[in-house]
Amino acid sequence: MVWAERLSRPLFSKRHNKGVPLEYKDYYQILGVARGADAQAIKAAYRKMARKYHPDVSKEPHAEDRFKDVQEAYEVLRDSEKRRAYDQLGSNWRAGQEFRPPPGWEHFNGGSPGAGGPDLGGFSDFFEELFARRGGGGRGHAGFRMRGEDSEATLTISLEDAAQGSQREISLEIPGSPGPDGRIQRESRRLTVKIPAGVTEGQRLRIAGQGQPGHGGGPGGDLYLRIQFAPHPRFRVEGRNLFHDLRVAPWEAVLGSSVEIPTLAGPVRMKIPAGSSSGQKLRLAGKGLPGTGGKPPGDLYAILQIVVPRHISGEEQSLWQKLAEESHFHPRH
Amino acid sequence: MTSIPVPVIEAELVEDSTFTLDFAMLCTQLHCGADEALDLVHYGVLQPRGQSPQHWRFSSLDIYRAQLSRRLVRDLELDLAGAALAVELLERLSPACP
Repeated sequence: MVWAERLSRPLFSKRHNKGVPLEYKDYYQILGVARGADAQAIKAAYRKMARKYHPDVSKEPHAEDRFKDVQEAYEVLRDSEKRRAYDQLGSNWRAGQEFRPPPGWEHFNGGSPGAGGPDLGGFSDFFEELFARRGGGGRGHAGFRMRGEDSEATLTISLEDAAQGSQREISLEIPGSPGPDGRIQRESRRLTVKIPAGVTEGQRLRIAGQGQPGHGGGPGGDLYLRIQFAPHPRFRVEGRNLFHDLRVAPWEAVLGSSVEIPTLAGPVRMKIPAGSSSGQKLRLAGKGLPGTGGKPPGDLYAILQIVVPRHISGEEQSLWQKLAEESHFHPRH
Repeated sequence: MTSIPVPVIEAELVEDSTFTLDFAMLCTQLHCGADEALDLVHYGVLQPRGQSPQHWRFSSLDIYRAQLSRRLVRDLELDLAGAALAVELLERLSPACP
């Protein structure tokens, strides 16, 4: 089974098992502000952190997770009610420390649950534990029918799967219905996605209705899967064209030869013209990735690499020596 | 234990380079009103072919651009002009995406 990897937009986080301690989140530390910071300072800090970690723009490692934390921290600290409630927990907690809400916290209604990390698949279990609205409302907006947001994820596939089409199983976690305590439960959902033959890197697949669930009975958004190719041991890819480094012996390059070369559909023989040099490109038309929608297939380019033997026998040594004496070839002239 | 059957869903290939969507289809795909779509065109987030709204044709790359700009506006509090610039710069940085 394959996770839709590197979610530039989310699928969802893990589900919290009740009774298991949560990790305390220090929202002030996440935003890099003091506990007494005013609203303006919090907003400024959010903007700075959001620019740094926004998954659409950031190259930072784990940017998506960091951005999610930043959004969650901002959601709490910008809202005076939520901030007051959060501050009631006290400052004696440290980030990552095991946390259980204090007795009586169950009855706290932290005001509006807010947008709940739109498009990032919900906030942490810590946030849910503290601020989830009791009584079945959850994050939904009663009486308000709204289509769910579209989600995006990156799906890494092999070149072979791209060429031939394939089926891949992906796992999504989605907000489900409210549990007995009124908190939204997360549900895992598995899908097998049929990937059409001929997809190329960077293209997107749309899976209708499999994005985030709608609110108030509204339809689900769409799930977009951006195609990424797994590194291939034999081919590099540019668009629909494939490139393969073809190692040949000096005599094959000089005299010409017919050598076996791999393609996505299996090996074929390719003619090496006499007098070929390293770096020359030889094209096998139509042996790249297949075209879609009437587009022509790509080509396979063999990049010649002349390699020499490291260990040679005495006889070979004398033959190379003879060649060196006989040849009028001057590669540096 | 019985295993739950996993539904098989056909993925639709989104052709980024084909200009097939008219203005109404674009609004439907984006789930937005005409005013919002017009703003996206005027600020350069969307780059349709054709001279007038009646003749505009959009590619699905425009759908991606619109969604990206929405996220940037919402999360980074950019205005549309800023979002349009950011979308363009992001495309220059990674021409293979989407």
